[in-house]
Amino acid sequence: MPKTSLLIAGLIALAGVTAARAADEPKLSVTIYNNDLALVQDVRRIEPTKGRQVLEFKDVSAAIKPETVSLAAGGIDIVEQNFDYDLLTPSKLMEKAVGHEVKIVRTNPGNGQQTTETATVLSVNNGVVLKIGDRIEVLRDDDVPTRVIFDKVPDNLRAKPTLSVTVDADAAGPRLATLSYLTSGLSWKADYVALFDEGAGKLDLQGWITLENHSGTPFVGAETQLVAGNVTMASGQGQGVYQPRRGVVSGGAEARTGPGKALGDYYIYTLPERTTIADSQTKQVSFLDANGVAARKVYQYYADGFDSADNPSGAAVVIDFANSTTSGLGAGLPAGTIRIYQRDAAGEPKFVGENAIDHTPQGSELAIKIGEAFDVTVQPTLVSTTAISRTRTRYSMSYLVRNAKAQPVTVELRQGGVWGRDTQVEKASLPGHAIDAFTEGWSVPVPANGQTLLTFDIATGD
Amino acid sequence: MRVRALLLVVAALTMSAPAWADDVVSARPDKVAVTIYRDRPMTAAMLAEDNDDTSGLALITETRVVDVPAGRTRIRFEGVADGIIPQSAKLEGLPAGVAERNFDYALLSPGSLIAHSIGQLIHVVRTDRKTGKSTTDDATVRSGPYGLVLQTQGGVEAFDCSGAPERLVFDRTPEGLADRPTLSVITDAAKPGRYTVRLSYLSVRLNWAADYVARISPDGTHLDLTGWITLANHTGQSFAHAPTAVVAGQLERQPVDLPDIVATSFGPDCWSTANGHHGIPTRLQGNFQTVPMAVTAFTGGQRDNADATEVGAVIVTAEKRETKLSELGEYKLYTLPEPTTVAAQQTKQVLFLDQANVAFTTVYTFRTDIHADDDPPGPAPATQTLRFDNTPANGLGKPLPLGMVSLRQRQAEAGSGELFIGARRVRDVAVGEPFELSLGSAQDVTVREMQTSQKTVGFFHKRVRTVLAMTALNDKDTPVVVELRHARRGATGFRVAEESQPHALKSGDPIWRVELQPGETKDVTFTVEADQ
Repeated sequence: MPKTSLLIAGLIALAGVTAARAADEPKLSVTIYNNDLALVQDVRRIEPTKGRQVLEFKDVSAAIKPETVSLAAGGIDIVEQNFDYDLLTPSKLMEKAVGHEVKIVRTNPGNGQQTTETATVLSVNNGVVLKIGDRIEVLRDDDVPTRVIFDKVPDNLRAKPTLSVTVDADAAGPRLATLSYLTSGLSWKADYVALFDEGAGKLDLQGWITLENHSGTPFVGAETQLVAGNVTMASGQGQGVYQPRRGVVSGGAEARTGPGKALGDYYIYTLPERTTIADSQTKQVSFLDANGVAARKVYQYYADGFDSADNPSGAAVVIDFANSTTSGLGAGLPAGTIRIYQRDAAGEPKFVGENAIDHTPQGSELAIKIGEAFDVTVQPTLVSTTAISRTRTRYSMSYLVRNAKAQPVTVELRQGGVWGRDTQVEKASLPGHAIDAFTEGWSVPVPANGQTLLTFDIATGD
Repeated sequence: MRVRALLLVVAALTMSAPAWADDVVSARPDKVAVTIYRDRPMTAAMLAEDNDDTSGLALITETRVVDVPAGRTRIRFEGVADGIIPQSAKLEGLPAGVAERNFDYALLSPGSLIAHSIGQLIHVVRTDRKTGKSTTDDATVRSGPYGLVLQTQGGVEAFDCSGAPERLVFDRTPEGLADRPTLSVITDAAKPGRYTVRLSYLSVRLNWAADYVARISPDGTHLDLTGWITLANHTGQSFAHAPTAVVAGQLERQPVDLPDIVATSFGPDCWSTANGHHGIPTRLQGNFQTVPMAVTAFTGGQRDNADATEVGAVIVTAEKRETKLSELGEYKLYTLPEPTTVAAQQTKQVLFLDQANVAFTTVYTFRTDIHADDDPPGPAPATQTLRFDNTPANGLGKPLPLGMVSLRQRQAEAGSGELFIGARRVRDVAVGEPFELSLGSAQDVTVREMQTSQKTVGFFHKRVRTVLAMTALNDKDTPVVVELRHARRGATGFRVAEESQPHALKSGDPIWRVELQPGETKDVTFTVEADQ
């Protein structure tokens, strides 16, 4: 399990681990984390000469974290490594030409005739001063179009940020080098599409892994792995600190991308084939396709205290389903957005709401709030507040639950704001039950095109 | 240009992925259906001012016919809405599954053309200002797009720094740059065939709002209510002859995660010249940033300009045909009577409700203020409030999506017009629910409020006892009902101890109702107690 040991050993120790991994052909592998972070392992063929030299690596991610770079190759000692941001631009080119000869081509504005002269750049300070023969001139002082032709591009000016590593090779000859580094600009998350069939009490769930590359660099033909879980990057300088979070995901997943392998406390999804993640691209790969997952719709209303409202408000519509093998699912679901669709009267699937889901291990229940019901509303009234003692209060509440639908519904009403100790529900018009120390719950049945008034007193306090 | 670009893309693809057949391009949908959601509580006035790039939401369902060859194929779906949320895309109808799908938003622009040509051979054309003669030289791009450095035969040169006219000529457009963001999928069909596929996705920048016009009868007991749906399309796409529906109800949403579509610009980064005025200013020196611009700016050129004259126009349909109401899950779905064209940057209105003779009652409401210390207490205006019961018995009984109600008073005299008497927002109202529209202060129905006494009573358990004397006055020439409301929400141990007439409860507050004939004055006194 070289990848496992690699991740667990931490990113600081990457060099040693990757060196031990004998790659026999150039390849690129990218491991993408959720939080705008990716580990790139780039095996390239290099041909060093014997002795000390500078090796250049072009096409590394433009969003590279240079302090995390490590290079491993047989028979090579690293002297120093630089990440050059000194970009090649005309003005930089001119600055570096001070003291050197350039050719200047003047075009005569009268007859279009071109004359070429050799000049030495004396200074570039808010204008270019040239020495031509024994004359000193200022470039384009006379507005005559003048081209400047340089011999060559200085070594350390580059078109793109380039990684250069000074190495000491024990012998000349081709070999493979593994360059690994962390980069930002690559991220992934999951996107789910669920078609909910209310009548059948089922939903069809599709999962897509969504990769986004805005690193400025394409990753061509990369072996791609995705890690679900949160990797914490220490702020400030220094290397990334790998802080495992306990108990995030467990169990085995069977997805189309191959089993999501549990790695320590993380989940790894490996894309089935090498892929090219172009720059400025959102790429989606299917990883889950489950049909007939048992699901149901629930109306909920949560009151976080005791108060009245002048207007009714819609009950929350929640889709409940279990991420278990018995319900038809049973894979670790990486965090992402779930979008719910339902069919309209004409049978067309229509969007009905979306929500975020967290990393959800197998065996968890999911409750996805998709919106508020138009036809099922709740209006609370605080009828009275009475002091029982210095610390205890009795709240008399009434909830008018209306249903404008042609079918009866049940609203799960939750009364929060209960202070906990010695809470007593008195004179409830419907039987309820304690949800936890701070919440009382009622299932309120409402007839079709009707309403139900739930009234209760709660004595609470110390 | 585009044909050539495409051929080159194909050539490049064949190199990188030899197993693939040619790209299949679906240039535009054959049919499109639009369902617009209410992104957040909206009124038509807010729609017009809405220029947030991520607001609004619609489900676009496209039907396209594609010829799919056997084997691994990339199908490019061009002409999707520019507000597409790519990760929401859903594709049905292909014979095989989709191995992956991509949304490419690297746009073809001068800057990206240069950035993708680094190391490539291009041509520099120099034109002599005097003679008009132009010469073409081959050059290799060494860096760009901010400050171009070219390798020419003579050596290394900067582009556009000599002061002479220069331009660049490229042989081809680089792979991966499109004129607009494009969704593509990779699929593996077993045998070739023609397939009708359905591509559906969510898009931002489409929105709708409900607005109502209420015409109150001269006698003030009924009103005629018309409801209008205003559709607003702030995308660069026109949806022609599209079956269109809107959804009323509050959906749960997540922050929209749109790809950052940018077009890279380019510019020279020349050395300065002494006299400056002909030098080209140094900008974005050594900077790798891209310049963000709204994508609409780039699709603008591609837009369906057939109805360019209508851009920004408000279209009001003359037809009195109502939209069809149906259920969608827990929301209301209003389907427009026939396919409509929602043009780019257009606002369109359609009728969805037309109810004559809606009954309502008018009450004049007044909220007491126990802390009033006016000296002397003067009469204060009551609030004219219209009360409705959304039931068929009252001439309504239709779901009312949230929106702005414009209230007009019809004049009794024949030939006289209507008076605009105010605009109020109505919430989402389900059938069977009561609702109110408060019109504002009535100057001729007033209430004088006086706190005549306030005492602390009790010894161990101290309570505050307040006596309020209210005087309601009707200066109108019609009888009115005044409702005095004592807002005491949350007061512990509150009770009404004494009162000159019995009270009722409204939302937990006690209310006293008095009926007043024209010119009549009535007193209401009550004593309330609450724990200190």
